[in-house]
Amino acid sequence: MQFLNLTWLWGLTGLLIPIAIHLLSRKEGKVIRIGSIRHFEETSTRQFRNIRLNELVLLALRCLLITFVVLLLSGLSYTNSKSEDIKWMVMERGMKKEKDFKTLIDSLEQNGFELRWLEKDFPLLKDSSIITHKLNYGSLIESLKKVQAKQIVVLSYNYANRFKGKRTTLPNNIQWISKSPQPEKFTVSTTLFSSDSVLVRKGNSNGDRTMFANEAVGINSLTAQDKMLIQNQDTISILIASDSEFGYDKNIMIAALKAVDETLPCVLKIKSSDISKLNDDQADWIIWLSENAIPENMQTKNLAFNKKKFGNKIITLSDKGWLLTQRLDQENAIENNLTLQLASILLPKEQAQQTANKFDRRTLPEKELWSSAPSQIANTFVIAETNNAIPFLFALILVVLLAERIIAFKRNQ
Amino acid sequence: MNTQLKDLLKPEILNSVTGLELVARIIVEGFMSGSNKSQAVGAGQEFSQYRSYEPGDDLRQLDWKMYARSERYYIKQAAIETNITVKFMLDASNSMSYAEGAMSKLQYTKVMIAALAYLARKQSDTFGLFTVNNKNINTIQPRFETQQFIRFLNALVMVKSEGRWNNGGGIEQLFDHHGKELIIFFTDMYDDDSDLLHFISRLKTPRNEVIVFHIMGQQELEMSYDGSFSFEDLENNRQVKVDTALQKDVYKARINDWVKETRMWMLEKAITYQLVTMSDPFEKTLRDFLKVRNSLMR
Repeated sequence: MQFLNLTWLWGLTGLLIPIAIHLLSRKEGKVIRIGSIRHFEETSTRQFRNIRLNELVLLALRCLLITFVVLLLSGLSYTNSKSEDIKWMVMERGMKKEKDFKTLIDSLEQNGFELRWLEKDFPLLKDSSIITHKLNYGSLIESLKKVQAKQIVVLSYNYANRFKGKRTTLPNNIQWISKSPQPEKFTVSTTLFSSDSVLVRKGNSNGDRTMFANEAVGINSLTAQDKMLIQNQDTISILIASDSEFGYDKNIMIAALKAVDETLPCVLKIKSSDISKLNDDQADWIIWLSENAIPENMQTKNLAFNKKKFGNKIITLSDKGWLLTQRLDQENAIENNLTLQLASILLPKEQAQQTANKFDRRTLPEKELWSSAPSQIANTFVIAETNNAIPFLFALILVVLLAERIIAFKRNQ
Repeated sequence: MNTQLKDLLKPEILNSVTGLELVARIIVEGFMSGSNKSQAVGAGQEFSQYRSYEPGDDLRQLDWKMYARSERYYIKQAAIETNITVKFMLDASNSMSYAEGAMSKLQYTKVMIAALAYLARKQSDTFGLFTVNNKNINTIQPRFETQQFIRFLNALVMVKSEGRWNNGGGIEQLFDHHGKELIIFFTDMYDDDSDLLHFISRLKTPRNEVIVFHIMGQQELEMSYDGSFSFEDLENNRQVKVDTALQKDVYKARINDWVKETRMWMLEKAITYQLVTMSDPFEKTLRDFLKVRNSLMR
């Protein structure tokens, strides 16, 4: 429990008011001298007890009312504190199999640590339901802070792609033990480029980096798993529309496309024409090299020259299509990796990207994990997590007030 | 009760003879202002008028000198003079010291008696005072003297409420009836074994009139106390714990029955009974007194 204005707690001395009134107005002790008591009847003690009880209840209600009002004024807020001796052992998927940690896990379990997965909502290890979410260590730590546990031990691989957003500080009650993962070798894609040979793109990822390499192998030497991935070469037709002023640019563009065609397992069909003699040739891509704007009704994917757009990249995406932002010459084509960029937009490999992400084993080094900001920030975070009790108190005050009025009304009847 | 009079109803004023006289005079003069003399005429000392003789008139009242002068028969008429004896009797038991606000029943009664005595003196009645409790019986015998009123007030001021009603000796002298008399008895009717009723019934004879003024407090009638109290009996000092809220209705009904019963009992004995609450104006009491007195004159 926390208070915003501690001084308001002095209002609790207001409790003296109803108590004093109660003590002063105990009329039972008062004696009225009267001519004769013949017409009076002794009120039974039971009735008196009822009355007294009634008055005590009223007194209690009134005291409660004052207390709640004072708490309201002093800005009571409370934290969701369950039992303080929660001890968790949270591990990332796969850690169970690590031999290095086996003794650690066992001893912690014996010391009363609950074993949980490092995932959203921290399911118990016993829970068989496996839900794989995209993990984010930052948000997981935020939810661990809310647990208000005494001690939390986290076993984690520190995958770099799971650190997103602002770096947070590690609270005192959390111990973060990291282990660099086993290097992973995987096949990104296999592309058939002749009748009996394939181009296999293999990845190799470890804690430091992920590398990719292409390898041409015979189709028979492939594993069964890789055979499943076999894809045919993509065939892409490209129309380069240019005017006379952009002749040099056109040549560079064609050279770049040819380089792509030779390097990557794909077939590019390149045609070029003058923009004035543009016929209705069907093409997957149109590369528009002219000061004139590209016609609006262009249905196909297009890369158009647009000098007005300036950016770091030589090719950027706008809402109308891809834009070439600079005039091309040898120098900036090499500097800006024109070939690579062309390849990436012409041959997007989402599946391959996903596979690569899945097997990404790169980690963040220990020193870069946590922000070393002063611990006060952590404290303010805790306060921000507290719940405001004001609506709850308002409801309580209303209820108590109502009850008090009803009982008082009954008593006066 | 007007506010001017209310200011005067303080113990320090009521406990002095002159103060009590002043209060009595204010009450009576205020009450009598604008009233006319009695129209009743008959035989008496003070000449009023002549009227023609009519057959059947008493020949003794014929004015023979007038006949000698005018050879007509005249009957001589005078304003009727009455001298009634008014006996004020006061129950001076301790229950009369019950007080509401600043005034006790006894003080209220004293003011009433003083005012009635003043009125009686004005009408040249004789009046006396009898106060009774079991400690002493105080009597001022009725006399027709100028000092009588002061003597009367002096005795009235000295009256203290103490003890209880007298059942023993000495009470016999109060039943010494003779002539036309009006007995006015002030009490709160809190009796033991109907001793008060017995006493009242012995006061009444065919020749006299008895008025009983029953003095009650407003709160006493309605039990308008808030909360729970111990009530102590002034005469036997017994206490009883009462939650007034619970008992109010029962109590009120009981008091009503009691008053009704007493009234019926008085009515059977031809005794005038008046319930007076301490908030009533004094004029009402005076009017009741005059009404009964008139009935006595006929």
